[in-house]
Amino acid sequence: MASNASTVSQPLLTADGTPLKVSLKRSMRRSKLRAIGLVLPPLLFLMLLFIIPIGNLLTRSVDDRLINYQMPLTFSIIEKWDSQTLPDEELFEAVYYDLGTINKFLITNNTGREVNPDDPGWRVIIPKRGPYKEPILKINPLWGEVETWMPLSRIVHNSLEYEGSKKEKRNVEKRAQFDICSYLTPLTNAACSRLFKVLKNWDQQSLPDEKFYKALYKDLSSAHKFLTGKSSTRMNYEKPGWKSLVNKSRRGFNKIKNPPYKEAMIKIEKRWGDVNVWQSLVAMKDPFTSGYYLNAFDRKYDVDSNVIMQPEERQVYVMLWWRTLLLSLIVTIGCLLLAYPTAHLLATLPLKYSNLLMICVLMPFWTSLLVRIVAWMVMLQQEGVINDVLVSGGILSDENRLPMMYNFTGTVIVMIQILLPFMILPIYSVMKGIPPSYMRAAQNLGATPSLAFLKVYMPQTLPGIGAGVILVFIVAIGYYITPELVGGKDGKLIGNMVAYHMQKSLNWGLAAAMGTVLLGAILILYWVYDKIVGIDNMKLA
Amino acid sequence: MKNFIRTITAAAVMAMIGFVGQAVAEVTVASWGGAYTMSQQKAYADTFSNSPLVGGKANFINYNGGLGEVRTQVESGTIKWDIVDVLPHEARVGCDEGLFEELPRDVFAKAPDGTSMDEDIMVPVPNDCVAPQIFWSYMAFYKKGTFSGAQPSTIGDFFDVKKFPGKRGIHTWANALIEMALMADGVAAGDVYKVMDTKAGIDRAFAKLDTIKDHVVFWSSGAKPLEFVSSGEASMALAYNGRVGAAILSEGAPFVPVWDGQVLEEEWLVMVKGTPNYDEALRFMIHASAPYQQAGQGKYINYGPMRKSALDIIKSNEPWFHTGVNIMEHMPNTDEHMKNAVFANPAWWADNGDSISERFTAWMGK
Repeated sequence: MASNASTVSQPLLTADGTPLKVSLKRSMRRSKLRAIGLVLPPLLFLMLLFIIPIGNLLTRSVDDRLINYQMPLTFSIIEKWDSQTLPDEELFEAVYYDLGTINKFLITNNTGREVNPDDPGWRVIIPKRGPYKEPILKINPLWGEVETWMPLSRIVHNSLEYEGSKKEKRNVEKRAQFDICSYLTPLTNAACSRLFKVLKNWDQQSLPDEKFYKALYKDLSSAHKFLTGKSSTRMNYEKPGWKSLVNKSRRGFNKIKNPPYKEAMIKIEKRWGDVNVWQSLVAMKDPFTSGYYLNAFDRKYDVDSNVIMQPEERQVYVMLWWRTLLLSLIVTIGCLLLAYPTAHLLATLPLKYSNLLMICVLMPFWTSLLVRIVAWMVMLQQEGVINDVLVSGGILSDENRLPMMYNFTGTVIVMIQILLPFMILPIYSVMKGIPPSYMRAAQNLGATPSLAFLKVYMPQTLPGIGAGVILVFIVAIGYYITPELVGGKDGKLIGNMVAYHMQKSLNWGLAAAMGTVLLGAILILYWVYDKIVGIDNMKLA
Repeated sequence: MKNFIRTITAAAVMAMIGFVGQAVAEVTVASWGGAYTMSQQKAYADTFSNSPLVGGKANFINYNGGLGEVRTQVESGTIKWDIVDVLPHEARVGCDEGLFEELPRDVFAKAPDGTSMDEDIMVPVPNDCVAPQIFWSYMAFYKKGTFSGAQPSTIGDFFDVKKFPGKRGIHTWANALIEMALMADGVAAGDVYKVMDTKAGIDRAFAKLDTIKDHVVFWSSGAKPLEFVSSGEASMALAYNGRVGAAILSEGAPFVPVWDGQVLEEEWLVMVKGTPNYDEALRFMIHASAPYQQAGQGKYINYGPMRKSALDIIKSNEPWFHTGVNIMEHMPNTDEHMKNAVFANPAWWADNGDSISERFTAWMGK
């Protein structure tokens, strides 16, 4: 009995003596790890190339902090201004310090610390030729403590410990100079080379002397120049003219020695006496803003944070959104109308013909996009093949050649041709799976061919249609190089403006806002599709 | 000539002295591609690697302009390009924003007469980031035999569709068009930017553009205007002067340039901030900015060298073009072609480029 009881309470053992439960758990864990290991690479890939960039895009579209780094003092007191009359001395003084001095870096140390406009540190001016230590300590006494310098010193010493070839070492040290500057300022593209040099020989204990402060001043000054350059690009977009206003003022401010600043600034640049300039400053004061989204729809904030239209001659985006939407819809419908019969033919023809046809469908994929575009130009332009044939056939007179290229028509034709395969393939694959017996059965039961098609065949092809429509629409809505080449005056779409603001105007906030709207449009499309057809029904192949 | 070469060599030796004896790395230069980059390859890269004195390697790659890519590289600290060939606007914005290295000015080769490089350049040097490249221009042209009787000879004729019927090929962005419209409307070249500073001036330019609006075919890539004109799609077009020149010089195309009212643009070399190949890149820039190298580019393309001394070298050594013909008459920045022409004002465009671009896009779509 006793032995029997002991067998029951004893856990089940595997062959090697470990309890079954443990062994099972272990093997489960192993297979789980293996599964994670298999999923990890694509997951990381997705994270790196998809989720992070999209997150970045979303943040950029609302992020307006740059301008707050530039004008902390001004923005901390700008609310007090009535925004209708020319501001008084206090605000002029604030702009003078924000554009003309590096005090912001020394006070906030890039920590985003709450700005206290009454801090006397804002109003200390470091003389250009020194001495530097005394005024810097007056601005922020923390700079007199070893602790404040330690993190910088650590950056330097980490880089000095790097082992490698001479050239590699030099580059690591160079990167450290950038790191120092990005620790002290919101910039990643300034090199604090002088600080690097003095910190290299510092024992990390003795109190920093004048040459440290000189290096600090010089490096921060050059970083400040770049910050000003960058924020003036941003400000210029808010109101044309800021760029030169900031540039000229920055140079001129050196000459102003004493208050009152108001008079002196207006003397340097008479635009400081223009209320509109000051009002445009107010519109930029929020560190996170929906201004870029407003901008993407030809609107903006006025000085009282009301949404108003952009000046008439700058209103262009709403028109482009409509044009892009219209073009995408026309192209999608055109593709559908052409693809449906083609796919049907492909699905029903005997194999030897359908294969040949399939090659014809896929042929464009194997031809360079540019070649296809140029071929269409040759065909469609006013001195092109089609017009020549029509004219020589006597159908058209020479003066009335049809404009089919470098306009909306040309864009539609070329885009339909390029995107057609994306519509044919999903529809074809669905049609292929529909047994021909269904149609025969329907007709046997008394339906006319057209009724049988409408009630029996077409509903079954819906998943393919849905997939094709979504695919073509999504691709079409982001197209911009082809339309620009063949579209002439109608060739500019939202995609072109995104590219323009990414590459040329460097207004990434606006580009990001437009990109986000595009993304949103596609998600809405998905949602609508899901409601009407059901996303589970979509078949890509 | 001998004297001149000696001066250059001496200057070069002085400039190089600090660099000789270091490991040779490949310098990556981002430029615009096509015939232009080919001319840079021949005039700068080939001579760079062939010269025993200089002995470096430069590798050209193509890009589409703009600073987006450079900004990404600099801000993320992963520098792939060492040198970039940029337009006037980018040369200024990039330097202001700290995307380019500021270069020591005294290492660049002087002109044979001893003028410093910055003095030798035909426009004011905007900042310490740039090294000279070329001038190019937007200009009008037509095909021989298009018009019977009087031939177009001014920018006013380009905007006169009654006198010279037919379509006009123009580009899809506003640069140069505003200036040309005003010059065609009777504004003197020297006053163009004064007029453009007022809203009324811009309205006036757009009003002038309106007069040809119904006769316009737009182009967005540099080869199109030549196709337009040679196929008859347009009777006149605006184009980059180098494209028209290349068609005339290399293919014998029957194009006639209209230099009147041309708008010249600068093209600079800049070094990407934080590049690991600083020394090699600087050596290449010194090499490519020397007067003789600058002139050398004129052997392969009719974009005008920025340095006066380089233009002088070409002038006194005609026929200079590699096929054995004269090149001066195809250069945009000679006295004769500059009689009624403007240098585009990058400061104006830096202030107003974005708003004008929006207005122009809206105008196109109307």
